[in-house]
Amino acid sequence: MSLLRKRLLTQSPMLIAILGTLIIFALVPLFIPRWGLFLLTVAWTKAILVLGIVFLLWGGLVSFGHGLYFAVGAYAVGFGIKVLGIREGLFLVGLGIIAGGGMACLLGLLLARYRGIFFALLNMAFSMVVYALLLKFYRITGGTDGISISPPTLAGFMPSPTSLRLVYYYFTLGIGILSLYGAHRFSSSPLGYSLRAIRNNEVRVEYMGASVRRAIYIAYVLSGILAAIGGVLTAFAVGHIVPEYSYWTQSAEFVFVAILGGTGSPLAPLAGSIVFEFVRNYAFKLSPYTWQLSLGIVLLLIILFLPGGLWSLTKPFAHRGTKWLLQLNR
Amino acid sequence: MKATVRKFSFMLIGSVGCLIFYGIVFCVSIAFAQTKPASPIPKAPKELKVALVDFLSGPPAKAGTAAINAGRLFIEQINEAGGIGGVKIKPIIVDEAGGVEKQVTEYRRLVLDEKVDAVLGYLSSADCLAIAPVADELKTLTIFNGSGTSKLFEQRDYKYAFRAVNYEGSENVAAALYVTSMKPDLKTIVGINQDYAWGRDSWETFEHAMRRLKPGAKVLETLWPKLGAVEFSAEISKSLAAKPDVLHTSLWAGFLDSFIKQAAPRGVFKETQVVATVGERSIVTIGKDMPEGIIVGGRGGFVPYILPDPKANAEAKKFYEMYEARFGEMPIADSFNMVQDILAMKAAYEKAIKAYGRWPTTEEVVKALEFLQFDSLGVRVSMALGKGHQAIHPQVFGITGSQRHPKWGFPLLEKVKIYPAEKVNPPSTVKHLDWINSWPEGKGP
Amino acid sequence: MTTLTVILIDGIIFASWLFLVSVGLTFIYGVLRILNVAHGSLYALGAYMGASMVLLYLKTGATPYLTYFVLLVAAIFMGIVAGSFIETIFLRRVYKREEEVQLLLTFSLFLILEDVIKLIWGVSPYFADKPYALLGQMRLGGVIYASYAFLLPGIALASGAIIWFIVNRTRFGKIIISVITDREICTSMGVNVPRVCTFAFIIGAILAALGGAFTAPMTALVPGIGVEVIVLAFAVVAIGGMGSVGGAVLGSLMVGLARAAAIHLFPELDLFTIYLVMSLVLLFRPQGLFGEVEVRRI
Repeated sequence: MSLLRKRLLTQSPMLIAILGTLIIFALVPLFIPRWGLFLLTVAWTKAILVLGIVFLLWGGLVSFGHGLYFAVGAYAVGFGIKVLGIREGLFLVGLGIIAGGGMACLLGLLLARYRGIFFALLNMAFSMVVYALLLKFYRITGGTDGISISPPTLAGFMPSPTSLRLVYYYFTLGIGILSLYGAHRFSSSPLGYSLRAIRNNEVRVEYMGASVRRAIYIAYVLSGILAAIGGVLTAFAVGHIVPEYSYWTQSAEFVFVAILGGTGSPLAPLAGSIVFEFVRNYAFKLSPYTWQLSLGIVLLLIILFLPGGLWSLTKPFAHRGTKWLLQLNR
Repeated sequence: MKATVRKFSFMLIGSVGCLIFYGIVFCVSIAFAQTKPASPIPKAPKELKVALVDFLSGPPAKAGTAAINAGRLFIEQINEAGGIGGVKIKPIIVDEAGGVEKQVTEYRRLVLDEKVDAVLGYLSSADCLAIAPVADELKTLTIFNGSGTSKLFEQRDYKYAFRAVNYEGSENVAAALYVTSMKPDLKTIVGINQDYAWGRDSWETFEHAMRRLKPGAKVLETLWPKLGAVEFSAEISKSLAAKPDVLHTSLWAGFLDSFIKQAAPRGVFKETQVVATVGERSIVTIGKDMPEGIIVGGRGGFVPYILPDPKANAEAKKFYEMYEARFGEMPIADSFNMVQDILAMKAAYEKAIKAYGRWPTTEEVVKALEFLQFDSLGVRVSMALGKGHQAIHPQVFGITGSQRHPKWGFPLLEKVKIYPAEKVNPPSTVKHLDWINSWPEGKGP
Repeated sequence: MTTLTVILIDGIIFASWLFLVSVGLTFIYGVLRILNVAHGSLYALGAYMGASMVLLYLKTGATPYLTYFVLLVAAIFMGIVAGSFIETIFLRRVYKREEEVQLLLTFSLFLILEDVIKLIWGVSPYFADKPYALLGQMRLGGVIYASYAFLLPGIALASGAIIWFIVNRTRFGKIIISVITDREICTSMGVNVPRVCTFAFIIGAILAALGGAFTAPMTALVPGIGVEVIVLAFAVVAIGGMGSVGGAVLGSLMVGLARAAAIHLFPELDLFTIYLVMSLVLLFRPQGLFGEVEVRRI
């Protein structure tokens, strides 16, 4: 069997899954109402961000401060439009990546050295410092009033008002699928495997000669970039950017979604994100006075009874699917 | 070599595939982009769905719940009297918590899924600023009530977004006018405001006004406690040490309550003239322990039961007695603000119905609301600023006095001054700070 | 010179308050290795329960001087009830899971308790300020202070001393230390580890509730008071070292004095002080001032 065929075989379940996701979500707008489309757009932006959190979870690290990069991405859009006068969405995404990636490169130098609860707390500390900075420099950032932006052009093309949300949905979907693919490549790369090994036993990985620091640093920078992309896309979708994006409760929400979805696969954050958005929406709709209670109960139940997150529900199917595929090629 | 070529060809196929996909998507979306057909003549709906959005959790929960309770009660009254143009109103309640992103999603759900005809409420300035453009995008009548930011209509024009209640600009101008009239020989000022947009804006307006009214007065200190802090002993110490004539604070709700509780035993209210620009809520919540001698303003026009002789019209008295009977406690300013929003909506609908002789479209209602003048409970409101989208109405200021409310025991206001709307608001299309700076020195507007 | 005195006094008052609200968190982490986000809710429960019981008590017309005792009783009661409920029904199930899962469990409990508190006590602000006003005022450093503010350092010292005594001088304290060091060996030596953990959590819950109960007379109790407290407590605990009560003392003092100095000298820095101190300390000593470095097990 040629190398290409071999590679396709072993990776095909995931690739097929990603392709399937693309097709499903490309066709979904035909069936769901307009507000559901917005919900899905926001769910996808969260999913991209939570992918980054999941990378870190693979390495055994929890960050309670990724709101920092989320805010950096969003504010990059805000300043890009207001100060630099950029009106093109693709450039803004690039700006967000540079800002978030640059920040992560810088902070990662320090933070990648810590583990466990210290990692979580240091991240939180930095995100709260950024929150305070965004609040404090009121004249520049607009403080708690935030920055309002109108949707920029995409590849030079300004969608008409009636199709605006639809086009932005597809834009987010496109970037989302790319991120999924990138996550898949990362997870099946040697770096990705060493990351999971690090979670298991860091010392052994070092003894084997792989660089633990490098793996964690790269994972951290990638998670920062993904979070920044999520911030950029959220800014496009919501149109308003506030310092609360960097508050600890926002970061806690991201970790919530990560655990809700599970860490088993790059598709898990998507599932977690969609379920979270829908659950939160129905909690608001059905119990406006006690939505926190409903949300808390859902999370509690998932933690207690579904330890692998929602994605663990697909395990029996995934197993069967892979077996079937391998049999096809006998 | 072969592997590299294969890799490259893969990437090429991949990118071309992406571009083709993208292109298909754009063509599809262009196909969807038709212009909306002219709307047919609308029929009166079965019911008018109105969303009421305000904080039901977190520190502003008291303000939001009071607003929503009042909204529901008032809507019941309207429905009993036949509704608007014969159509009954159905309220839908939403919590404003969760942040800007959540609220924008909620707003879209209300408009696109629940198909509400109007959205009223919003206490947080950030939420207002985020929702207003969406209101225009989704072409839905939206009337804000609680937020204070002057940025809303001073920085941008909106078509479907309105605010039927005044904002921090008029409150702080009135505060400056009142304190200079009560204490004409004041020389020193200290400000304790929370370190976020509301606190900064409030202080800025007040300071600008004081600079024009009393050019010789000096600002000794400005203190900026964190939003969320409830422990003010250090700020109080600093203020006591500085011994200012006037202390300005825009602290609100529970935060102001905590501040008053901590400051009163330390003699702050005896040593300094404290101006609490939105202190009205605290009079009701703190009740009989509220200290005397505090200059207090109310968000919104009238909270008649804190005036010693509620000459306010019978409607307002009837309403707060009804509220008290139903909920077992007094309403606060937020209750009246929500009612004011509902009255604004009702007045606009009724004006449009009268003009067109049939049920109006949203655009016709919006047109009717612009520059409308209507009666709220005990106060005349005029949508004069922001190109007809921002309300102005009289501003009340007074000092908590020795007379007490017979039932609840809280102090009633004395030395009440009711500033007419034109005195505390800039002329149309002028920003409030520019207007303040144009006052002749030493004199007011 | 007077400014320096005032800064010192304000700093110590705020530091005592910080200590009271964070010592429960660090104690629970020290014993159970769980960062309890629901700590904010336990604080709020203690505050509301303390306020309710004080108001009830005052209705009976008995002497107001016993309200302090009432607050203490309310805190202990709430700590025992809420602490045992949370620990036995929820926390126990996740001891074997990863840290982040435990943390998220406490976060979900925090969400649930926020609304439970709202359902029980409503949204109107609660005031129980008789204990605060009763003690009168005193003049120090040229400024009038409410004497109640000086009760806080007293309570802080007392609770610190009691914890120290429990941990270092009682048999139970020794058992706690051994459970912290090695759970398995303790079980094999016949220690009822689950019960020890429950007791330890209850003690931590009582401390959290105590912080709330004695803050209640000074502030207006509204929904959401727990949220701000969590950030402060986290910061102080991170500075002082997770699990170290002495560290919590030092951490509170550092933050308290820094904030007081900022307010009196550079008011614009008020917002930053706690995060700055936290970042600085963690940069040079990530385990906190008195924290212990975790030993990597191979």
